Parts: sequence; C-alpha cells; structure tokens
Amino acid sequence: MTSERWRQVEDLFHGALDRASRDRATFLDAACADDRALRLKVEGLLESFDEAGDFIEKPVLDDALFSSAKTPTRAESIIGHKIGNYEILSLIGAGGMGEVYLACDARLDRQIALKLLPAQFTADPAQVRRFEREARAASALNHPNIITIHDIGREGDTHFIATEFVQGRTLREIIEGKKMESPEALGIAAQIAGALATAHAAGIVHRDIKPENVMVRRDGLVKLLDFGLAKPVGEDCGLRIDKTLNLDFESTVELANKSAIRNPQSAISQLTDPRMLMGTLAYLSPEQARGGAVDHRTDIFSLGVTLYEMVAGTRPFSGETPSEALDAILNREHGPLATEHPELEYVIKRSLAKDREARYQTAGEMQADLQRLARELASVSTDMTSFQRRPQALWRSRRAKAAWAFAGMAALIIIWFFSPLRKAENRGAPATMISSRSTQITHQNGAELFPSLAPDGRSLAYASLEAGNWDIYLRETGSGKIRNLTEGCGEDDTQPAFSPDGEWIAFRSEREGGGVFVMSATGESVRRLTPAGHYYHPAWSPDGRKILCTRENVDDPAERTAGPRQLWAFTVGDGEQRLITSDDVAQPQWSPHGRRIAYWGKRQKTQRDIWTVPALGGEPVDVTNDEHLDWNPVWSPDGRYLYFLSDRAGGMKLFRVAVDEESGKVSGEIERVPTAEGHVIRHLSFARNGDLAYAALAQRRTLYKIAFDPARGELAGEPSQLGTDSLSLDDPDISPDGQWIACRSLRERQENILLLRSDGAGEPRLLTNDDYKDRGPRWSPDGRRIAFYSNRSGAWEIWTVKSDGSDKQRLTFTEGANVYFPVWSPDGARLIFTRHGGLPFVIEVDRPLHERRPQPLFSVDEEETSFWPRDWSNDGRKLAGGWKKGLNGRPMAGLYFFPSRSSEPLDLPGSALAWLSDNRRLLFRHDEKISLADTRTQKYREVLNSFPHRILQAAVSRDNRWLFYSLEQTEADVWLLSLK
Amino acid sequence: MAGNYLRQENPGHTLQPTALVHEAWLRLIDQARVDWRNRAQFFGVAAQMMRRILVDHAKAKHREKRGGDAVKLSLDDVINLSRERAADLIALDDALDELTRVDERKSRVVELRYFGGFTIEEIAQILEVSPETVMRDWKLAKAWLYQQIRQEADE
Repeated sequence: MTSERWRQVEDLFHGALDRASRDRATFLDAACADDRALRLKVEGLLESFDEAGDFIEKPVLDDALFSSAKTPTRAESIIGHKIGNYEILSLIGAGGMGEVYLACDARLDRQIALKLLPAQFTADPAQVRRFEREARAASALNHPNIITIHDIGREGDTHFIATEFVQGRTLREIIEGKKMESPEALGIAAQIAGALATAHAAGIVHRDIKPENVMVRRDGLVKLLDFGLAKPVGEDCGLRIDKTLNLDFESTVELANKSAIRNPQSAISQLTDPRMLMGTLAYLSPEQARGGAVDHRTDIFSLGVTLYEMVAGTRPFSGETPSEALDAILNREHGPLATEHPELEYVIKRSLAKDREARYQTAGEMQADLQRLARELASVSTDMTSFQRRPQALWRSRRAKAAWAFAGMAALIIIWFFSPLRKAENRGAPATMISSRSTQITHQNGAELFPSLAPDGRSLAYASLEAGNWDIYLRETGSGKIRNLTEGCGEDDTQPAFSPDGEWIAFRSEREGGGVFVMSATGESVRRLTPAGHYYHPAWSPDGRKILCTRENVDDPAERTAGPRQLWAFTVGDGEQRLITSDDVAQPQWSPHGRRIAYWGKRQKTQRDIWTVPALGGEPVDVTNDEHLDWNPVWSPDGRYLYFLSDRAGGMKLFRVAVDEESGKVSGEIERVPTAEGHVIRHLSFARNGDLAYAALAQRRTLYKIAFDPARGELAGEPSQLGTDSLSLDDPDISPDGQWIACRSLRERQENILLLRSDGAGEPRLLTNDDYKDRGPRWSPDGRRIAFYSNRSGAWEIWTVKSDGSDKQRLTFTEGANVYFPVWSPDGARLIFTRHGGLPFVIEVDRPLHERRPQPLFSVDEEETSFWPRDWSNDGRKLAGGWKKGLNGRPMAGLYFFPSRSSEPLDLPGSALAWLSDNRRLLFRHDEKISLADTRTQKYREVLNSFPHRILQAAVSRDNRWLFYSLEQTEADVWLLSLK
Repeated sequence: MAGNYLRQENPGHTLQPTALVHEAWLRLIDQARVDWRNRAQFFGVAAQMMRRILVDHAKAKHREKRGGDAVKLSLDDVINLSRERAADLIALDDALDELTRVDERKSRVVELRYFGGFTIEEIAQILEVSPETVMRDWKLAKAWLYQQIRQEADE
C-alpha cells in the first residue's frame, strides 16, 4: 500500500468513527465513490475496531497474560505465619532484594523488622552470599545510628534477616517537596556521619547513602538502613559491562530495584519506569559513576548530596536522562545553595568535591564540623560576626560537648514539632454546637442499652439486665408501663430494632445457637430470620421488607479489631439472603428513603470512620476521614443528617453532619449535639417525629473494703466504700501496717497512683499526677516506698516512689521491652517484674544501679511457659499468678517454686491474686467473683460476688482480716433528646 | 508451616520487575554505545527492550516440547505465561513488525503503550505530537493489528 493510500484509509477511518454508526454508510458512500477496494479496506478496519474490544488496552504487565492475580502474593499468604521464632504481622515494604515485614519475636515478645530473601533466589548462591554479606556487614557494627541486626537465618528455603523495627519516617518522606531547617538537617547529617565513621572504622563502605535509606525515629534518632550494597573495602567491586555508560552494572540494577517502594502492587509500574532509575543515580559519587574502585570517601560524597537535598529541597546533580545526570555528577558544579550560612556551604562543597582527595578524608571529620555548625546555628545569636570569621579558623577551635547536646535538643524539638503525632493532638477543637434538650426516661437499676424508638414515638424498646439475663423491654412513653417481651427466654436478647410500620421488632438472641430473630411488637410470634450463628445489629430497610445484619458484634468500638466483616441483607418474607459487601462494616443503617446505607468501619490500622454506600451497591463515600473514632451512624428521619458518636471532643459524644442522601456527599460542618453531661453515649435510635433516643453510660470504678474471717474463709461484715463517687479507683494494695491503701486513680485519660487511708478518713493523696500512665502499685514490705509500672520513659518500666510522693526512681532499664506488675519479696530486698508475654525476672533492689542485673525466673528450656506473678508468699518460697503453656494454651492460675525453679498450673478456673498468711490458701478471681482456694487440695469456694457488677482486683491485709477490692459498676439509662 | 507455603506459591508482583529490569538493563547496556541525547529516544528504547525480552521469552516458551520436561527459563519464576498466551504474544509481535512497514509512528505508539505502559499524555510528549493524534493513531493501530492477527490465524 502506498503511503498516500494509507493516508486516505486513515482519514476515512477516523471520519467514519467520528460519526454515528448509522451515518457511517452514507459518509463512506460519498467519500469512496467507486473505489470499492478502498471502501472494503476501511469497513474491514472499522469492523475490527468494533470487535477488538479491550484487545491490548491494558499494558502487557497488567494483562492477564501474567496471571498472578489469582495466586496470592507471598505477602498475603505469609502474614500470620511464623518464620523461625518470628510471627509475621504485616508487610512494611518491598524492594529488589526482598520484602520487609513487621514481625513479632515470639520469645522476647517484641516487634522486629524481618527481611526475606525471595525464594527463587535461594537457588542462586551469589544472591544468598550477597544477602548474608549485608547482614554480616551491618551486624559487625554497633552504633545507635545503625540499624541493629538481631538475627539471620533460614527456614526451609527462605533466608531472613531480623532487624530492629524502627518507628518513624524515612528521610525521603520527611523532605518530600520541602526544605528542612538547617539545624534539623545538620542534626540528621551528623548522626549519619557518626554511623559512617563507625562503619568505615570497621572497614565497611555503605555505598548507597540516600534519603530512602535513612530512617528518623519519632524522637529524632537517625537509623541508617540497608547495607545491601555494602562491601568491605578491598573486595572485588563487581565491575561488569561498563564501557560507554560507565556504570557498575550490578549496583545500578540494585540501585534501581532498591528505590523506596512502599506499595508492592505499584512496584511494577515504578520499576519498569526508567525515570525511577534516574532517581537513584543522583546519589552516586563520581568514582561510582565512572565505575571505578570506591573507598569510604564515596559515602561522604553521597552524604553531601543528601545534606544538600535536605537544605535546598532539590538535588545538586540532576538531568533528564541517565547520561545527563551522570554527566552532572562527573563534570558540573552543583547548583548554588541559597543559604546565609557560608559554613554550611563550605561543608557541603567540601563533601561534594569531585576529587576525593579534596573531600573530608574521614566521616569523623565531617561529623565534627556538622556538629559544631549545628551548635552555632542553634544558639540564639544575632551576632553576625561569627559568620565573618574564615571557615578554616572556625573549625579548628574546640567546644564543650554540652553545647552539642543543646543543638541536638533544638533539632529534636524541631522534629517533634513537625511530627504527625503532635499534629493529631492539635486537632480536636470541638465542632459548632446546637441546642437540644435531653430527658432521662428509664430508671431501672443497672444498665439499659440499645434503645429503639417505635416510628410513632409512642413506645421504646430496649435491653436490660434486670431480670438476670438480657431481655428486651417495651416501655410505653405515655403511661410509662414497662413489659418484658422476652421474659420466657433464659438466654440473652439484645439489640431490638423496630420495623418501619411499628408492628415488628427484630433482635439478636443467643437462643438456639444464636442469630437474629423477629417478633411482633407484643412479644409474640418469635421466629428466626438468619441461620444460627454470628448475625447481629439488625437494621430494617425503609420499606420493611429487608433487614441488614452484620457478622460481628460490636460492643466497644475502641477494642474492636476490625477486618473484613460481611454485611448481609435478609428478606423478611422468605429469609432469602444476599451479601451486600465484605468490606469492614459495622452497625449499618438504611437511609429513610432507601437510597444509601451508612456504616462505620476501619480505615488503615487505627482510624474508625463513617461511610455511606448506595443501597443497590457501589463505591463507598467518606463521611469522616480523620484519626478520631467515629461510629454508630443513624440517619435523621428526613434523611438530611447523619448523627453519629465520636470522641473528637473527648469522651464519647453525639454529633451530626449534613449529608446528601442521594450522593452521600457531606454538605456541611460537623456539629456537636449536646447530650446528658458526663456520660458516655452509645446506641442511637430515631423516631419518625425526630425524637432521638440514646443510651448514656456511666462506668465507675470504686474501692470497697470488707471484713474477712481467715479461719473460716468467709466474709465477716458488710462492704464499705473507700473514696468518693467522684473518684474512679481500682487495683488496691494495702500498706504493711494496714493504714493506707495505694491504688490507681483514673480520670479522663490519666492514670495516677493514689493513696487513701484505709479507714476512709482524711483526703486522698495523689503520688503521681501527670499524663503518663502509672499502674500496679505495690507497697514495699517496710512501708516506705511503692513500686509501680509506668510508661513515663517511653516504654513500660518499673519505678518506685516514696510514700510521700517524692523521689521517683526508675528501677528497670530494659530498652523498650515493656515490663509490668512489680511484686516485692517478703524481705523487700528483691523485686519481681514480668516482661510482656509472661516472662518474669527478679532484680536486687538495693544494689547500685550498674550492678543490677535482672535474672529470669525460668531457664531458657522452658520457652513455652508464660507466667505472670501476682504475689510472693511470706515464707519467700513461692509465687502465685497467671500461668499459660504455649502460645495458644489456656490461661490458668499457677505457682512458681523458688527452690526448684519450677512452675505448675493450678486446677482453678481463674487467675491467682493473693496468698493468705498460711502460705497455703490463696484468693483468686474468675467470672468477676473472688474465691478462696487451697493449693494443696485444689478445692475452692466462692467468697465474694457483686453481680451484676464486675470485681476487678482484690487484696488482703497482712493480718488477713480485711479484704479490699475494686468494682466496676455500669449505670446506663436511656435518654430522649429533642432538638430545639 | 510457613516453609511449605513459601515453596508452593508463585512469587507475586513484587518479584517480577527485578528479573525484568535485570534483563532490560542487560540489553540496554549492550547497546550503551548509543548516546541518548533525548528522553524520547531513551524511553522508546526502554519500551522496545521490554518487548524484545517478553517476545523472546514467549518464543522460548513456545518451543518447549509438549508434555516433555520443560527447560527452566530464567523468567519462568516471574512470568506465568502459558503456551497459548505465548503464541498470542508472538503473533502480536509479528503484526507489529508488519505495521512498522506501513506506518512506523503507529507501531511506536503501540509499543510505548502496550509494552512500555506509558499513558497517552506521556506518549504524546515522547513522540512530540498532540494527545489527540496519539489517540487516533492508537485506534487505527489497534484495529489494524486485530485484523492482521485474525487473518494470520485464519490462514
């Protein structure tokens, strides 16, 4: 075909396509005239075009050509499994040399990062060697700014490296798009230089210094990662093909593949994108670019590039193609730095010298200059004369180390200021308020929850525990008459929901295997709607024909570990069921005109937000998207607002936001709706007239004391409350002389240690009073100090404080392992604490700090046993506490014997709390009751029960004549709200 | 046991690019004597490389004896290519060669889009034409290739 012919075909083809199909024939008639061949050609192409469909529409790598879509990625299938001693929790990132997972070290119960070498590379010894070399390189180095390697090994065909898990951001994420303040940049660069100094001293060159390989922890500590390219100096540097392009091939491919790729699914497009390749070339030193031999000074160059980028916001050497970029590195000067600090320019210039003889010759030298400079810039000084001194002279002078600490603080403060953690606390300004009036309408004892208003507003259904199990009650608003609708059933019935016509009530019941049932509003004609099992939260469609149910029961939104939970719609008539979505859906609510369904669910790890989705199916639309916990959405009867609960103003309060019922789009600000003060709000329900019923909960923790007869093992009096109703107290411990009680005081989000007199006289005294959480107070046997565990150091550690509140001392320095539950020895010389996961240790309290070494109670062979000691017998020979064998064993009560260093479970259904002074009987708790057990016969008897309230902890006085315990009382009532 | 899982699963998307880029770069560097002065050339070559690698792999796959011991190809762990799809890919490659003879630019558009994964806008920049032109080229090229492949199959 001649090119002219082809032009004709082309023009006609597009001309025809531009027209409607029915006009095509006439168009072609006119255009082709007698040229039948031409017409056939064009028509053939048009036909092919129509038939082609999605032929080659998707790029080849996305195409089903490569059918990995159905087989799960390794990441998906490995999560939850164990490799060696590590349980895989989630995928953190992926690169060319393998994937990195967040894992839990089962033995030490701490989080680590686990890097896995891809299975098929196991067959390639060169790759395995490289992998091991990386681990060896980094593990030989011991420096706070170098990532700690914990372990290296293999499980089957999988090689892995376990490193510390660093919580923070990569330097790349921090500088993305913007410049840094000089002191902060200098602080980070100085830490990297320090790490390099150590590495170089050990003969190791990193060779891949760039922002993606630097992590900055929340507290400002820098960790250098990814020694994957590191080679000991002197080893063959692996020159392959290099010729004109002049690159060390191996490192180029690895450089490309090791670019920060956080989302494995987009890895394909990112890595086959040559532009990504060029991003990593920018950090090569001239000698690397030339493919020649490199030494430690190459790291200094790359650090200079990184520092430049931190300060200037752009890269010093860039280009459109690899050649250009490399050319810039080799031959061009870096762009000028816009900074008023000539010293900073000097440092950068020197590290970026093309001739490595002209650079800093050691990382230590560079670090010293960086530190001095950071100090200079951080110190508040308007004196410009210091900047006029010649750079050489400045660097020669010596300064005190304390000044660096100050500069470091400045850098840390700046980093803290910008960290996302702080931003979250700044938000939370309460939304605009509207006026409303609330009246309490139920006054039964105990908890009334799950109100559901009948559509005409004339009656209210709710669940109450008053009869001993949960039942559904109906209360007529006018007369106030109350009836138990599920009286006959001894199983729990909750979550009533009125049908739109007010004739029926759907509810969750535990009877006959559980499920959602429907009964008439008079409590008759109960029939089953769903199959037996986990179906909850019935919600009616506006036409009354369908009911939505979720597969999960949601009680406390903060504790809910969410995952995909299905949402089902059941047709009331015939019970036919249809799956609506498998997204994370809780508490769904149909909108009044049936258009959309509102629900809440999990987004990422910690967010709980509200969405709406079209009732016929479709994409969910956000209603909220922030770090506040939002849940329990209900539509107003006119469909204009979504009311929901949120903690955005502290506590758990009621809010509303205007939402368009058709599209789900939010059309206004979030407004606060005032409710009964001082309560936690749960469970909302609207009547058609706009009345809103809600349950208001008040949960209190209170301390009680009661006389006890140790000989008989029985209570010997009536309980009396300690402290006042305004205090929320638990976890009591009695002083040796019996005069004082140390306990935990809870208020809003604070947890502090509080002292009370045991006779109830006088004022309570707070021993700690700050935002740090302090728990588990225990009196020392001489009555002078109280041990407790606290997170005030950033992780849970054991502390002691004098009984007057002074002299807080930290006892353990476990570097983030998290330890709890201090238990004193009877002579007060030793203290036991338990590491996360049930690993108890003992420490000598009176030894000087540097001589204290915690000793594990169990030998290494007893890996499988977990034990949480709660009390030391006063003959000093044994401990009682919680006991568990294996990761999935049943938690039981157990004992530990010092002489034999062995432990054994007790055949008791709960956890042990306190020994009696005969060293034989002990108190333990199960099912919210306290019982007394004989450890020899293993017989036990109930001693104390406060149903329906829950007993949390109990302690016994030294003479065993008094029991002290904490109770959790929940009062919940239904209130009615009307908007003014 | 985690070990068994690892052995059975096909490695996922994350691992494909490694080997592919590996191969791509091998070839690119072989051709490194070419001095890329402009982006267009660079990206065009990259897409071409991708095509070559995949088609070569498809041909190797296609040559495997049916039922016999399959020789393990270096990309086998990475690309799950059945013999049927391999044949499709080879047919497309042949058709593209034919298209190059008729209209080179259209062939490049297909190469950049299908093998390089570039978007219409990006292709427009690389080839220095308007996105509308790229779109038109694409439609005609697609129709032409489809027709060509079907004709070959019928013969």
